[in-house]
Amino acid sequence: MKFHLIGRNLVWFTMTLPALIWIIVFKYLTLAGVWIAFIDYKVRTGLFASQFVGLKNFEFLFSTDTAIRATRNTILLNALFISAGLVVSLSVAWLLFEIYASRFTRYYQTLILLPRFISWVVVSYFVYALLAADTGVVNSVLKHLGIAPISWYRTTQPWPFILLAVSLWHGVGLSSLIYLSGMIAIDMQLYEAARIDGASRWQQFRYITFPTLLPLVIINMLLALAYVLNADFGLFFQVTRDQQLLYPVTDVLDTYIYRSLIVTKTISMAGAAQFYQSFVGFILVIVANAVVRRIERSRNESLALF
Amino acid sequence: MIEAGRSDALPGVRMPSRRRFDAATVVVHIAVAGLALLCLFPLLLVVASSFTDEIALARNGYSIIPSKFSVEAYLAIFNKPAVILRAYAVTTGITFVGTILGVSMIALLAYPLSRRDFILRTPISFMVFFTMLFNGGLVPYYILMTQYLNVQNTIFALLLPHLVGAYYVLILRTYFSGLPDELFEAARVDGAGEWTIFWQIAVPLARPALATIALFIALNYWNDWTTALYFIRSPDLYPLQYLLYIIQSNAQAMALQEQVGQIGTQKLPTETARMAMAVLATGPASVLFLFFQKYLVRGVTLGAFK
Amino acid sequence: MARLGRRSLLRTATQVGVGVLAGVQSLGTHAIAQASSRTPASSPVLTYIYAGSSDQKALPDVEKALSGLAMERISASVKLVTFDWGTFDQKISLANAAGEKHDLYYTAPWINNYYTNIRQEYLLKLEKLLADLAPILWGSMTPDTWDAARVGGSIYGAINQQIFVKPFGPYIRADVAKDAGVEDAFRALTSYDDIGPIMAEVKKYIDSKQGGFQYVTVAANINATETFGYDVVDSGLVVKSTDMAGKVGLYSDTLEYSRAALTIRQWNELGYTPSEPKTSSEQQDAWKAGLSTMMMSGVVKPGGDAEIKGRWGHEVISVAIAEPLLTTAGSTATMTGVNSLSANPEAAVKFLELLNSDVRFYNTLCKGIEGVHWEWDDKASLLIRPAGGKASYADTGYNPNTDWQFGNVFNSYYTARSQVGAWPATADLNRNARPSPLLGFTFDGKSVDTERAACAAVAKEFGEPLTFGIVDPMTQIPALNKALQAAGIDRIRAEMQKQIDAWMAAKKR
Repeated sequence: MKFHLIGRNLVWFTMTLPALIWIIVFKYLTLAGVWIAFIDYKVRTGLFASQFVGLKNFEFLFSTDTAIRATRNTILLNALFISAGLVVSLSVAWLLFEIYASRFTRYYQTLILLPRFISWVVVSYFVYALLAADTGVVNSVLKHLGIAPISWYRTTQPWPFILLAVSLWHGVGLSSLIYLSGMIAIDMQLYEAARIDGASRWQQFRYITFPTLLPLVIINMLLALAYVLNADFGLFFQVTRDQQLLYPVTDVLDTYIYRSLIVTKTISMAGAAQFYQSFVGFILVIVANAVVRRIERSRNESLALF
Repeated sequence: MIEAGRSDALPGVRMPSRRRFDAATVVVHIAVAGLALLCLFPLLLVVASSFTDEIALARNGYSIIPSKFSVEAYLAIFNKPAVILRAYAVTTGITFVGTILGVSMIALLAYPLSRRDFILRTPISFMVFFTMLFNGGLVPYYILMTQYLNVQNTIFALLLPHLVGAYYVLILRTYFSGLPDELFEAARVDGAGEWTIFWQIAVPLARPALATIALFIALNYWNDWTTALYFIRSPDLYPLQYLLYIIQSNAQAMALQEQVGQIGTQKLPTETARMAMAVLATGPASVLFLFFQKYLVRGVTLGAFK
Repeated sequence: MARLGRRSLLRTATQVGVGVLAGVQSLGTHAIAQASSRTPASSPVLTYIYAGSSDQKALPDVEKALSGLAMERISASVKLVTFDWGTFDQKISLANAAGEKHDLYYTAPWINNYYTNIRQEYLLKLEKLLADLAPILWGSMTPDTWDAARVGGSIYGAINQQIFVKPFGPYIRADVAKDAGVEDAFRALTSYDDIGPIMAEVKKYIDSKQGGFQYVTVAANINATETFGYDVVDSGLVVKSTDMAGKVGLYSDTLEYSRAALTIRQWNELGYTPSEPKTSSEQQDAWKAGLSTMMMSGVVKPGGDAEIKGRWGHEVISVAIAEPLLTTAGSTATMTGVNSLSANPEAAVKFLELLNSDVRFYNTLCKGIEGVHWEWDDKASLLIRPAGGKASYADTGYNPNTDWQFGNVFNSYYTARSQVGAWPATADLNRNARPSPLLGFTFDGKSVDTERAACAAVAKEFGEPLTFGIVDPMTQIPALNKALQAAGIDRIRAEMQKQIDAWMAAKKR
């Protein structure tokens, strides 16, 4: 290696140190706790003296149809949330970008971001205000229109989309910001040139904006993949009001685990559940990352996670 | 090319051509304003409910105009103003310090990871990513914090755990990778060291992204209540959201008590009080965001030149 | 570069892993080392953790007063630590898991789970210490009652005397009962079979008063196991209180459960209950706002009507329907345990004795300091009032209001005139209750944890809609039982039966 590269590498390494030390202390020192999933953990016996039980702690995650259904729901809903989330946050970012110079934009943005501050419990209150069977806003509108009211909390079919809407409403303000900040960095001369060539707004997006954002999109997708078996507990527990009749479509791993372990309360089974969620995400990311690396080779760009 | 670090000397340079007032722009304005209203409406519902008489609320449900106006909920909360003011102080303090520290550490880590010449780029990226998925669980973490770092019941317990988010590192890394290499090479030719390049080229160019990451981190600190749940015992150090959480979870615990035949005469927080707390926790945060927005906009002016 | 990177990465990961294993091992041994190096201090400070409201301004004063009293009697002082109710469970279990060395803490089957604490070895065996150092507390309850706290032959918690039985029954608002003309019929109730006509009358009354009440009852949960004389052990598995052989059955498979579910369903169809289930806090709000007229299943106990009035401001009439049944769960509903890592277990047990035998000491913890937080209203009947003409105890700066969490409630002073006399009546209720054949039996579900977890998930999914009457019991009860079977309820039942048989055989000997 050339000398100047060594020097540069030393400086770079120094830069990483504060965060690196933090990561080692807060994330790696305790990592052996992962082993909890495979033992009958007794805190006072310690991590290594507790009895090894193999995969027994994992059984409840697979033993019944309910458990399998929870895994299936988690994956399907995440697929929906991730893809819709990408499209919507890109679109919102683009819309904001188009009018970025306007003085109204900062107010729009603040408003779009506000839902993020509202806890799921409070969100569940007004979702209920909208969807309650007797007093809900939606049903009174339906009644006015002469349509038969719907008992929302007993009807499973609309719920994937209701949850999607709520989740987008709650999160899109923030997720679109990532793309917006990417767009802002794009050289404006590119757009000028494109306009002179007579490119439409869509063409500008398709040929300038999107390619520039592609690395961000890919990283976001890879990272989303890591959490494919995780679901936002607050969304699925609070916003559905934990209505059992909706479980066929809304019961996800996090709610299933919560419901199961509230009775047995074993640290090891909770550890097993967490390990299962992480492990699947990990494998998926490793595979996807390898694929991205192949694509990367054909382009002169770094896209992969590692 | 204009040197990015100095461009604060160039006010008001930004996309003049984008200010065109054509039909499409109007459509975009309408769409975004509609979106913002969609986000605003449920929040208005929360505000309205917080100003509704509690009995009227239980009776008539939520509505955008209070069915019976009352400031009782706020009076109840400000009955002990010291508690809530102190919580504001704690939350604002940790949000401010935590965001500055966090962004600095993340930027310092993300920048070297974006350099293709950095030999530790892949292993460290993997190390960072790995912490997104696997962790030792709550108990080892708690032992680390309370017995080794000894920060329980101090402000550091609230500050330390959220400094370096793996997700933000990876996003910011991608963003840094997108900056044109020629800029860095040119600076090196001029004899700039790596630190100078980082501070005077990378950071100014990445301002929109840094502001976005800062916002994410700030929101994390602002909304965090679990850390206080684990490590804070003294009411003097309760953050705002933890106060809100206590109000909500106490109500559930009371319901549990009833199951064992203990009817407490404790005054339960009413739904209106919960709404008022939500308003109090959100209102100042949105002002905070408007403040951030200024930096985002300034970032834009800088991004224009490269 | 990339390939090299990946290989070195693997190496890094391995090295980090090894280092970490060593690191956390030392975390574990550290806690144990701390535990083994405990030395009794000459004048120990006992840390006592319980649930409450953390905004008790006068807590330091009360702590000081208690320490003064305790120093005189047991040469120890007290440090009081309050965790907010909603956070207690998580905070105490973390503190225990991390091996913190507090001395006493609140534990129960429903919060800070007693059995989990025993399984994780967080609690000290107390039977010998109690007999030696806390004779008054030990003698204040029958051996049968103490047996309820026994797990694997040992007692791990000091039971707080309070209401052990759960005589469930309906409540009705007194004004509604009067106006709807159902008061006499209501008072004469002996079972839920006869309540239908009363509800019909109330419904008519509600409908006639447009815009007032909304529901006859906001939840029709009349299917509590105790109501029908079943002692529930775990996972919805029950033993009938009259069955001295202790045969385990599935509650959702009993005739009583089906009948209750059909009744609830009928009430829902007749519009007595909300068309959609209400959350527990909404139920409370509805009751408070006067939307609901009846509560179908509450614990009917001496002084209970007064507590309800204090809570919601409505005068109520209640009738006990369930026969009082003394069960393991009921007897152990509130306990104080000693931390297995306590440096001063003897002093801790002496503290328990003091708390449960010294009326002044106990009431200082429950109500605060005489003359500062409370004063006598009528000393002869042990009635107190807030000190200094304050309107409520909350205004005095000290109002934990959970006497039952601290010790023997029969020693506590009355705070309302209508409460006077409630304690002897409660004691009678406990004394005259029929002991469940399983009183003193505790189930160790460890070997069937997988099944218990799976069954818990299923039971909630099918059970709650039945409890709210929003599904048809004719199809959903069979569906529930089928799902439970698939989740392995029979293996739990077999394990439970085995343990009960062994326990009964040992008891006979």
